Amino acid sequence: MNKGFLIKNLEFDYKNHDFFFMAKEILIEKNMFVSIIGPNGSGKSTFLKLLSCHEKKYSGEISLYGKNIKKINSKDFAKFCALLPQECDKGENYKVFDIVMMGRYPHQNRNNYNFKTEKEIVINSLKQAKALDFLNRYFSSLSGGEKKRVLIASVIAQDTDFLLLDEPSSSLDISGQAEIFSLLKKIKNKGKGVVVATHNINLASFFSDYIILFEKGKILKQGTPFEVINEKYLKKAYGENISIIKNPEIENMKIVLPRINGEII
Amino acid sequence: MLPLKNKVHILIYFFVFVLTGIISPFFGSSDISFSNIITDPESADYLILIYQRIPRIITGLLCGAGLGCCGACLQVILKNPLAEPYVLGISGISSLFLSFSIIVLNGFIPSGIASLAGALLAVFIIDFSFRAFKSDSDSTILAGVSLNILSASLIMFLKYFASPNKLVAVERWFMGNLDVIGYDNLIWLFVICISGILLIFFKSEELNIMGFDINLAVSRGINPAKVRRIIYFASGLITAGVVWIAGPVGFVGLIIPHIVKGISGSEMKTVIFGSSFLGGGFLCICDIFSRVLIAPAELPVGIITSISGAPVFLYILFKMKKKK
Repeated sequence: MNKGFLIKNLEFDYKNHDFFFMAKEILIEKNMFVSIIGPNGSGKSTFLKLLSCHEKKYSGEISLYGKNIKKINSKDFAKFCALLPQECDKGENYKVFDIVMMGRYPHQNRNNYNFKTEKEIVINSLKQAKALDFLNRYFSSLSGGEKKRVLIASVIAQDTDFLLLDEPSSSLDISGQAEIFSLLKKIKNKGKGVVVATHNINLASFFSDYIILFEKGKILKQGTPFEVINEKYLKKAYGENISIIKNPEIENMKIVLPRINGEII
Repeated sequence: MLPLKNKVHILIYFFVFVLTGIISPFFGSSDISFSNIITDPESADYLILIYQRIPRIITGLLCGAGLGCCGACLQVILKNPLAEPYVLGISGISSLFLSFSIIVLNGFIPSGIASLAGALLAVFIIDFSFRAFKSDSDSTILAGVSLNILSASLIMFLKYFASPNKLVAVERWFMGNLDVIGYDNLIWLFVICISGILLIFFKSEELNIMGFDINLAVSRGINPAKVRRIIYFASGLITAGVVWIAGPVGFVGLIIPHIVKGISGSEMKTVIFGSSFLGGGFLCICDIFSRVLIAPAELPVGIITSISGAPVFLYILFKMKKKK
């Protein structure tokens, strides 16, 4: 019996695509902030899709609390694990309140439905995501950062043990990105498991407890940020055009910077 | 729980629905007088009202409601504002099967069964293409349009061999016509439309979430394929009923949901009820025009829905684009 996700001998490939995904063993527990990093097309999103049961045609086993996730009823699974996909704003135009309320779907059934408590949870989630001001606005009228906050609020409202987020900080400005990460850290501190796929290695290394580095569908290195944020692994994954320097402000922290023509920029 | 505003909107749509139902019997090629009806149950006016006008209005309300509701949910599950039973070829294939059963099989298979088989085949093909195209809605719409064209040409082919008296019957019905007499088939239409709309209504929460984002819906424990199958089945059922009684009436399922969404927002419970009520009202009003415009003759109601619907639709389209 484990306390979270256990992945064993996972193998998966997309039909008609030259892509093979493999993960030998990963353990993701509650109370953990896990960052998935790696270059474009390295399998970050695939990993989240597999973990959240969106993709089921794999070999190997993913279990949650010791139970194979393929055997968990999808509505029950949604009470344990929520996924925020990379992009989701192409659909119908709803009000912010309704969108966050949609997060409550797995917990609702027709027989016992208390609008007052549901509403409280929605308001509370919006408060946590600092998005309460948008309550009565239409989703399409919000800016990119505000949209992300609302979507995160809807995932918080789902009230799951594990939150998987695919690039929650993309399309945000520099402080907006950090705010999202610190918000996720707060959620983690409430005893939840947070898994984030991200391109921002620096934020990932600062906020997360555990980092998994993917390269071409395979795990290159997993461990604490101190272990993974290392010139040897990162250069293998991202190529030679990066350099890693010491963070002048924080001890034992490193900063990853890109290089062009050998020069740090 | 619906906000008060949405409840009020639904109530207004319902009011429009009932009001058109009440006023429509008094329009038609022959004037009927109210006092005659009350005083003399044997009078011609009374018979016209009971056996012609009222069944016709009920047909209009039910068909319009069913089509509006189908359009509303097909647009959400196919993620395309053009999705509608007529555009997708559901009406077309259903009509093809129905004309085949009349012209070739001489009614060996009841026409209702034939149109149901056609409609279900069409939704099956659409579901199949949606999967084959990996959820690409534009391609699915094109597949539907080609189904529509195919069925239209095959119907022409059938008509070529039909005897003249059958041809008249098929032709008239093919343009969309609410001309029913008596109540025999209406009970079936009632059962079909109401059960179809309820089936769709019970999936409104899922439709809301799927309408926002399909991946998010999966992560909330919804099985989109299952919801789609239910919606396809319900739409097939309703369309078959409408085609069987009134022929392939176009445009109602296209414009009505857009009008409702424009007024009340995208919340699906409101959209489903609103589209049903407004669709029924719209078809009824179109039918009034089809009865009085060239009285004592009648125009097929399908022509009126298209003539009035297309400009309204264009207007809404321009207005919506401007807003964005």
